Amino acid sequence: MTGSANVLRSVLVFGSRGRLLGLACLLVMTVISACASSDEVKASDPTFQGLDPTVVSEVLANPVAVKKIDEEPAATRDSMAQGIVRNFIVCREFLVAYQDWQRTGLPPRDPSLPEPTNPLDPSNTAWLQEFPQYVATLHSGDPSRLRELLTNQSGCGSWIPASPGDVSGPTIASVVSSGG
Amino acid sequence: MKKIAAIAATSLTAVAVLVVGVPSAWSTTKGPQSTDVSCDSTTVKVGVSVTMGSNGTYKITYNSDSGGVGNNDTWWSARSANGNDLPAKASVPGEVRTWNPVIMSTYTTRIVRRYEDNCNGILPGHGNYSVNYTVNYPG
Repeated sequence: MTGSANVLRSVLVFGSRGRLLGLACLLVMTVISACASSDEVKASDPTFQGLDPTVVSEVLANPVAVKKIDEEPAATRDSMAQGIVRNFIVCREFLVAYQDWQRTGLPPRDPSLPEPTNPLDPSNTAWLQEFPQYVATLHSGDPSRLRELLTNQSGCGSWIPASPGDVSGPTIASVVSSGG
Repeated sequence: MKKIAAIAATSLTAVAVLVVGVPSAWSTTKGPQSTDVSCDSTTVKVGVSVTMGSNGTYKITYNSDSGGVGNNDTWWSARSANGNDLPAKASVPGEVRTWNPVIMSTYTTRIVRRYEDNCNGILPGHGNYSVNYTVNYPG
């Protein structure tokens, strides 16, 4: 919204050439925004209360995540959106844990499961099942177990970008596989 | 005599366990069930949901088909409740596709036709065909 406001301001401030350029930019930003954000789910929804708003914004600007949310049946769409935000947070925390473990040789401290104010099923129940598995890898004393989890074909690492907002950049799985 | 018979029975049981093996997790079956799939090769049909009790093998058996055209080649995948996907695999009736190891979660099966076809004859639209399938997973 801030970007759009700036473009709008440039349209008002600059001359006709600037207006043309500004309008073109506004059009492009509108198209990009329409492509990336879900029509059904908004960052201000109660679904996301208690979760990191930066990650919520990132998820709602990620075309892959938005497609998954929009494809979900209406009855479970909010749950999917909430589950994906927690997925981004958890997967990145365990990536950092893995990298720390590789660097120091010591198992890192247990990350905690991000808790939304209004946990929704089925994703909440799925998290209560999945999260202990991630923590158990830290307790195993064997970093290869965490590596397997982060590179598993059915895991979070296979599609979540390693760097926040870097939609076309390497996934968490590819960073782990390449020894990063 | 009874003692010898008991020892023989115990030995046979031990051999049977060694040969057959002990399952690492009980496999649970959902289905068979049927659902209609569009022949447009883009519309994803959301199928059954299952909750895995442990990590393990997710298996989809494409039992049979009806209607449609050709061999009704179909993509199968599943999505977890947190947005993680099992990669799509194609199969025709009678074939089985497996994913292993799958991290336990609640998964919803996703079905889409592999190739676009007209299954509707002279009528408008692509039409549908029916797939009958079974899902096996660690319960």
